[in-house]
Amino acid sequence: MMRKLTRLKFFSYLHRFMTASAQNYDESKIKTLSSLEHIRKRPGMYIGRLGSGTHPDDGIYILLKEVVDNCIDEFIMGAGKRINISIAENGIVRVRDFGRGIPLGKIVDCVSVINTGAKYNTDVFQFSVGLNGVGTKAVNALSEHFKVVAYRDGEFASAMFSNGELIEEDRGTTKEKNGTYVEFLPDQKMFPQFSFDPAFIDKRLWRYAYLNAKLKIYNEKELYYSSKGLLDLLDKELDGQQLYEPIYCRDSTLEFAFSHTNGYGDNYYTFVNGTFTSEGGTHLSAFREGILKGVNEFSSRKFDGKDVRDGVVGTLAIKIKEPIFESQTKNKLGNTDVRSWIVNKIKDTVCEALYKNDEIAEKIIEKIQRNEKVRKELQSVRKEARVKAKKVALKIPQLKDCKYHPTKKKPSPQGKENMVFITEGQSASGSIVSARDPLVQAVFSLKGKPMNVFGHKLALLYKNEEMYSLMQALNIEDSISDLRYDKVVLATDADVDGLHIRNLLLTFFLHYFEPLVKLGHVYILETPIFRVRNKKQTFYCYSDSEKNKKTKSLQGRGKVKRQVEVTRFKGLGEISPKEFKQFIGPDMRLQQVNMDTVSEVANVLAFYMGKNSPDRKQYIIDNLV
Amino acid sequence: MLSQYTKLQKLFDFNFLEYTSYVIRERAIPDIKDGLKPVQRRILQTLRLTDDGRFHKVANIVGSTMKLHPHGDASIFSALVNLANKDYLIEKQGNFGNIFTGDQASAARYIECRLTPLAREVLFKKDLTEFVDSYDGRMKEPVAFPAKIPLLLLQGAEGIAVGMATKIMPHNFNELLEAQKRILQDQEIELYPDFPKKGFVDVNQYNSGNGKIRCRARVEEPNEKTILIKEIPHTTTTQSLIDSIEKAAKAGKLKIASINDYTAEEVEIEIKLSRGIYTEDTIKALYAFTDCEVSISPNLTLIKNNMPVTMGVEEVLRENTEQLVATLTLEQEIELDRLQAKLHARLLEQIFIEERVYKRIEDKTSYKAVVKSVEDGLAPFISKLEKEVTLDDIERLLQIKIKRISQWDINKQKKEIRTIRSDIKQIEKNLKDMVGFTITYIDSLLDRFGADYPRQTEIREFKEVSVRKAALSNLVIGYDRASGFLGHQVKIQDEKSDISFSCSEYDKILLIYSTGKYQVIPVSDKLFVGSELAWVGVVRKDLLFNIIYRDGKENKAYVKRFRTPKFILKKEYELFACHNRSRILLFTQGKQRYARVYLMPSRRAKSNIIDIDFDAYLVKGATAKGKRVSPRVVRRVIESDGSHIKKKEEKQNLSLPGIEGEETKEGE
Repeated sequence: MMRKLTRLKFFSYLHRFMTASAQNYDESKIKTLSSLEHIRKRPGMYIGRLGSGTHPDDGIYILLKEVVDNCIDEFIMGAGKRINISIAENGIVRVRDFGRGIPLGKIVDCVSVINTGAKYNTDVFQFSVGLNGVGTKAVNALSEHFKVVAYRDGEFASAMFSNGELIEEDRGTTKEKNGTYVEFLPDQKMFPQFSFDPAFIDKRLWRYAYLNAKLKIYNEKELYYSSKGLLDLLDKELDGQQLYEPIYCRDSTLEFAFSHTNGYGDNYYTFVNGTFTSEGGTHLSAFREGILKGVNEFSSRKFDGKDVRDGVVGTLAIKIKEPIFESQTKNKLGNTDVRSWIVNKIKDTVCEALYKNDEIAEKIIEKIQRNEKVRKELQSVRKEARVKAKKVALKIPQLKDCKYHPTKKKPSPQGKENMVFITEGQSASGSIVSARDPLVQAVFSLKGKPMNVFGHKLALLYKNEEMYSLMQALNIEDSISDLRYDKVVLATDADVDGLHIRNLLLTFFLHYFEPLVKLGHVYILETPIFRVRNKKQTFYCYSDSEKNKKTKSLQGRGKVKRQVEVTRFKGLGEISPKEFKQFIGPDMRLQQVNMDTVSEVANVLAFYMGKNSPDRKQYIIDNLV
Repeated sequence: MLSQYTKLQKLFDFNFLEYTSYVIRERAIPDIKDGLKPVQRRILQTLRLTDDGRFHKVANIVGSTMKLHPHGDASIFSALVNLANKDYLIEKQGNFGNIFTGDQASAARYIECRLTPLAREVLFKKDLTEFVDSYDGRMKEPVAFPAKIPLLLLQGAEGIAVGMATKIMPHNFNELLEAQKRILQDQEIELYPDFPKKGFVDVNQYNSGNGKIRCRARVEEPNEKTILIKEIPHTTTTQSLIDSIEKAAKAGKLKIASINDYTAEEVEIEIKLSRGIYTEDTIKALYAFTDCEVSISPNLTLIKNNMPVTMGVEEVLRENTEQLVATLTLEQEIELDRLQAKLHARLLEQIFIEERVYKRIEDKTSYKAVVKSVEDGLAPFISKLEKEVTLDDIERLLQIKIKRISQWDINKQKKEIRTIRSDIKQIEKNLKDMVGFTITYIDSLLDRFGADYPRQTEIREFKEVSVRKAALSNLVIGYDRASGFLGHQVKIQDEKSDISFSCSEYDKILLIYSTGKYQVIPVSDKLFVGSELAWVGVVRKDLLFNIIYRDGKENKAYVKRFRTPKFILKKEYELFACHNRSRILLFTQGKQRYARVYLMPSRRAKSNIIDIDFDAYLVKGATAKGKRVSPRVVRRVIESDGSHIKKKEEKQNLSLPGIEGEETKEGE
């Protein structure tokens, strides 16, 4: 099967090659794109993904970010404490800062000629976010309508563009305060049917506020303001679960705060020059090392890193001159030179804070010792489980693996991610197994409903065979970064029990392997609920309304309605393997599981998966569907 | 709850609510109307559809039920067996398991079932049942049966949903129906559970099905070394009961020599006692430590109008009774319509034939003319009819067979019409007095089925068996003064100075230190208490302590008497002000205790000895200072037999208000 495929591909390449050579390949084919044209041709290079605004990293948010970043840079340089933002219904975004304003003579160049800007000049902008001088140009190029106005000492200059083409320029006097005004409307051709999700905007603006204490950002009337910066962010993430007042430190290039919670595992929010680095990087590992060293120096003991860090929730923001980002999505820092100074700074701060404050020190040491105890208990259980597992089989039971796996050093290229389907029961896995692409699609079948692990200790992972197998299959026992699959797909039936299993599995992941969800590895497979067919056509429908529409169209307009067979899929087992191919093929419908804050997880789990409470009973009665 | 819905929460919320709603409405909680959960209703509907009077293989019924119930066959099978074992609606053939021993039913392919006459009578009425499409739209299934008996309370139910659960006790058939009659007559009712496994039940806190009840086994003692359990509490089986007894015996809570299950038709568990153990104590222990007494917390949650609600038994029965009246009324109305239509048809036929209207159609050629002629023929007799003549009526008349006309029997017809008329009258009378009619209906049910369902469980008020009292004193606490350890793992070394006593695990231990501190602790295996204990023993109410102590600060001795003080476990208290020289000089317990106190010799004194009769001192609280023995310094105190005390005239202690009479009890 595989060999056939590759051969097919080869032929298609060959074919393409031949048709290309048939045409003339001469000087006329060589093109030099103008800078903005290039952006429109290859938008991915500049702003990552395009999308329509349903994902927090979709292009339209990047456009907004690029514009706001410039305002932030002004703030960082001490000019302009306020930014006004407004997003109109029709998608026009207006951003006004009160900084120094773009020098009036260079306004057109600044927003349309690539590689133009003051940020190459480190005196004017020391640690700017958008160093590459591409930001506003990309926004300009990708906007149907783009307008920039700079105000400087009673004078203004403005320029208006459409899809990067200059339309109008103006200069004159004004009474406006100094600053820059930008308005843009993302191009429908680039971002079809886009719309701004207020929740994502909210999140981004708050992040700006936390990273830039004392900066006032107004979104329409709503104020985003943080007086304590990262400390406020940490506060929000902890939501009252901290064991002690966070340890906090801030200087010109580094700001951090952290505290322990009663939980396990550690969580960090790290930023480099104002960009959220969701995958961390060298600064994060230095942060973690610093905490460990600080605690060990204070206690003059040799605690294990894991024990010290279990339960930590921390925030870190650094500013460096030339950040190098790794990984495809540019959210992992790669600079190795940052390590030593971050480690030392954090070590000293932590150590000092602990000496100064007995109460905090006591609580930290107590938590660490508790972690140590739990870990040692776990070790014995783990050993037992491993011995048992070895005895049972060489391969993981319940798992039908795929051939390709990404590794830490060699992540999967985009579009070639592998995945594991977690199915409910044997009857469903049969279809998926025969319909899958064995190169990148693995199947793990659960035996009936998994256990509700909420409130259970880590030891359960080793006692419960199913949980253990699942953990082994994903290879996340030691670290989430060892994950063998890019996507973990919950493929349960589309009935109520399937929904329940989804909750149980999500509980499992959130409870023990929170980062798995946080990093967006967990997906839900949407499968059709109805099959509507007559002798000629078959449709698969994902909702009631879709079903009704298709049924009507198949029945025909005539008076005599044609016979239509409607089947409701109760379980995935009802779908035959051949049919299944299309549901897990290239058009697979996947819904990513997202989470907003770490603190919500505990609340959500406690409410939905915890013990019965009068509150919950009332909630159920009020909300029965 | 959470003010803002995040993405993750929305996801959880959707999954949760979908699942929860389904489990509550479609799985775990029964409906008030027919007392059935959906799976049970679907089984009964299937039984009804296949009902031909013969027994059917359970496997077939389970298979057919699947057309309505899209779940596994195993769950349907166990629901069917469960329902059949309640013995009201399903007649069993073959081994359906044993509710007493907990034995399993045979496989579905072996056993057979069919509806009982009771089920046929009270459950099904197609005209009155609302039907909806089944899950795949290929069948119709009832929303709820118009049950004519209060099935929910009759059979009881148990189910765990999400966020809520239900536990409804079964009740007695006769009592429920009698209570319905009382409801119809506007009288008060009282209902208590009745269990097929018999036994006893204490319903003091039943609280209309939302409180707590206790069930006990019926225990007999044919002789003092044997206990027979003849009936078992609800929720237990002989197997689970024996397991619980064995467990208690292993834990040392009770002592038995052997236990055997001789259950045949009747339950019989025989317990043989070991030597030195008697039935009375063991029975108490059985109730206290084993499943011979179980406590159940019923919770009457049900589905009413598609929503879960919690109601009381009386309320439920009232609803059911109203429903019964409504059902019967509808039935009567439908019957009335049917009879009236029948009467109309018969009258028409009578006129058509007896007045020879049919002859008029002979020469008519067109259909229209035929109809017209019949109409005309009937016209003179319209007054005899109670309804208008319709075209349908005429069609029907035209279809009458010649044979029928030729064999027409005038008298027989008249008689039949008379019967129909009297039936109609009866129904009209019924409809005017539906309460009376309903009572008559209930009576007829009681007549036909009542005898099959006598009360099984005896209602009785239980005396609390205190766990502490029933507990065996099977632990020996030792106090090794030399090492300072106390506990049931501690063996005493020195008979003289060490103390040992027996107690049960529920007892509390009072420690009184020579320094005047005291403390009450639970029984422990080994605990360091130091070597300074003046007294240690099990806490009993009203122990009487007599002490003579030295107040270190004043260097004076005091006499003090007190009873078992009130305490918080493990908290330290003081009998007297702490000082390094304060200590207890003499510690005795109970009445008629005497002491001899040696004072520091003084030349001026007449005597250096004081004899003390403790009974001459007032009993006060543990914190009271007591009475000074002498202004002089005390050197030594010993206990004496009281022989030195001159028998003064009996001095009566003034009894304090509130502790009157307590003095007469022996403290020890």
